[in-house]
Amino acid sequence: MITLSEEEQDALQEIMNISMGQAADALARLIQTKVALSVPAIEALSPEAFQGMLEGLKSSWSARQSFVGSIRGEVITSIQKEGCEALADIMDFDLPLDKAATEELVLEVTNILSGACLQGFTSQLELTTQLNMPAFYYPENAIKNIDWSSVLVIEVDFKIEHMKFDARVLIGLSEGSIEQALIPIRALLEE
Amino acid sequence: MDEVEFERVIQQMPMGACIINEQCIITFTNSAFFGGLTTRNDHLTGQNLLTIFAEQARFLKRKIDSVFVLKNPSFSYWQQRPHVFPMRSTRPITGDESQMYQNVQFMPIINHNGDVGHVCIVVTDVTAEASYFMQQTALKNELERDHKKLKQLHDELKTAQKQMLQSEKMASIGQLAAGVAHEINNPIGFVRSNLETLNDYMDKLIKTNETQKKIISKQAEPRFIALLDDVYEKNGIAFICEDLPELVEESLEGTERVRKIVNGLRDFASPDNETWCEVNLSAEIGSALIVLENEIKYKATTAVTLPEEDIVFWAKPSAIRQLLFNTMINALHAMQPMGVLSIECGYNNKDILLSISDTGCGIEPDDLARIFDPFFTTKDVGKGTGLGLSEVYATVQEHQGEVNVTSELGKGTCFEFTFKADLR
Amino acid sequence: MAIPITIADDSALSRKTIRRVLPADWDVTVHEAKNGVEALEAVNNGLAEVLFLDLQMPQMNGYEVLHELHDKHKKTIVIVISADIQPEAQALVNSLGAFRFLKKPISAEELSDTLQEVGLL
Repeated sequence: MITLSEEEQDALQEIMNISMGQAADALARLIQTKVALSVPAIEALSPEAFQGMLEGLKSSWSARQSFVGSIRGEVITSIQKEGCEALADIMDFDLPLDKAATEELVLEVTNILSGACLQGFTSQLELTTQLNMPAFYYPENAIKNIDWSSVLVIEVDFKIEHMKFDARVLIGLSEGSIEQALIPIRALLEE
Repeated sequence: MDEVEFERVIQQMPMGACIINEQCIITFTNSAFFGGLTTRNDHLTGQNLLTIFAEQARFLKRKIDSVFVLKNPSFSYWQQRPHVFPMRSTRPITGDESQMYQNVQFMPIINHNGDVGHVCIVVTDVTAEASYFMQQTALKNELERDHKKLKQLHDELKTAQKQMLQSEKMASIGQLAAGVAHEINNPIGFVRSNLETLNDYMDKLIKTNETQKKIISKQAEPRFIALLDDVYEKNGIAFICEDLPELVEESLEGTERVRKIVNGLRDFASPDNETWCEVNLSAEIGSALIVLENEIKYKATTAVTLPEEDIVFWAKPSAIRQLLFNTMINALHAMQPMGVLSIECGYNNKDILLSISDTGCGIEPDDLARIFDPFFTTKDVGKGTGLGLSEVYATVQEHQGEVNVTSELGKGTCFEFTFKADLR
Repeated sequence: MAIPITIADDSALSRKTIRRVLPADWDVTVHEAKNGVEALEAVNNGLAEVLFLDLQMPQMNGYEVLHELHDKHKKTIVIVISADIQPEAQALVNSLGAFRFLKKPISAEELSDTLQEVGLL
């Protein structure tokens, strides 16, 4: 299991905090509405615990998006169904949402949130990574052939109160990538 | 490589590329983009993208705005939006699809100030994948449909097999019963006829004896009379004379019972060759209720629903009479006073539906499968023959009908019969 | 004479980052506060002529600190350095009397420009 020192945990949290602030600002500017966000929670998870976390997403729309480069991993964005129509309205979608439009909305929001989160994170640490296209995700099917023993998950909630919009962004970093991300973090702490 | 070479590469790329500035004015298109369009435009460069592709303008504007604001790429997929740009399929001869299925990427081009100066729209042809995917989906749906059909068929076969097993069982029991009935019928015949003769002889003997006794008691010596009384006394003649008729009567009743059972068995095995005719079911129900009036009176109220017009169908009248009788008797026996005996009859297309239900004790689920078996009875030994419902079953089979029984413990039982209205 | 300044932020990395980007020629004594309560203490103890203030902190957040300073008519120069960079946050902070609003991550250039604007350099 990955263990982070208190200092590293604090640093990672602060960096994510800044990234998420940028992500929320990006979304807020796009839809002209204030976005509230939670303090990022950082946790190293076993495959079982991670599976359990995915179980919790079943009642929402989810999409996943992988990123590759000097760090690798996946962003899973899960959006509660309730607030979708209201968000779609201000994003200039036709209402009521049909299946294709709902998927399009979820993919769009996923792309915006993961893009902004990851961009902030990598630019602060001077890492490079490229986001691939997001894809709809149904966590009903358990992950098979797990070849990793732990994953570092950074979780943040985005909320727009008056629209009941609620999105959870989970950034999962692969085992090797955590080491990669820790190199510049340690450098920042040492200076 | 110099700039010219780079442009040549982009020109030759197998995916469409179109670059626009912040005002959505097209500044560059490669040949795959320009050449792929089904709409003919002499030159795209310098024109507004949103004007040229007016149908998708709202969508394109949303995507492009997001790239300019967020400085991040944006995507569009064929599943949600198959044809963003009007382009023909790249397989014009052998392809199934006439329009190109597209994935589109909107990529920010960051200028030296760190802002997004242009957006590059990259169109990837995914017609082959989309076509394959859609075929697979269609195939999957077809398979699912077939699977469902097969499953239904399988269930039907299972039900049919169960029914066949039941009738097979009935048939073999029927044959056995016919043999037994034949074997019993002859001896029971002469036992009965002998008993009747014996009854007659006995009457005569008893009467003769009584007369003899009267004459002797008037004419004979007292000593002789005392002797005779003694003999009578010792042999219990008075009791014999009293008991004998009862014994014979009981024996006759016994043979009568055996005869009924045997007849029942014979009816079940080969419902007799009674002639078929138009049977008025409504009238038969009415007369069964009259016959059973005495039984019904203290047990139940009746609720009879019949259509105004008489229900007439091609049947064996006595078998139908027996069927009604047996079913109704069972219903009455199942009920504590006062229950409700409901009889409903009506047409459903070419079927006649008859239901006889009670509010009685119901049938144990384990017993339900056996109620039509000959000799199966839950009544005390000697009270029921266990043949009533097997006769009912045989009648239903003979009339090519169906019978369905539903029962709930403590609530009641319902017999639903279906007969063919046009059996003739 | 060195100016007493306080950096109020719950994150050690953030405090370190701000220390690192302080202009080398600015004569200051730097104090640190890990939450709003400590930040107010520093102000009351005269340790914060300039206060670099984070908004999201435990116990007492930056907005509450600003409220308190406003109510007590403190003359501290507050420069908010925040991860929440949405316009609403900026507007609220300005209305509460902060001198400047800076976005995280902060750069040395930006800080030096700001200090010059405010007349501290």
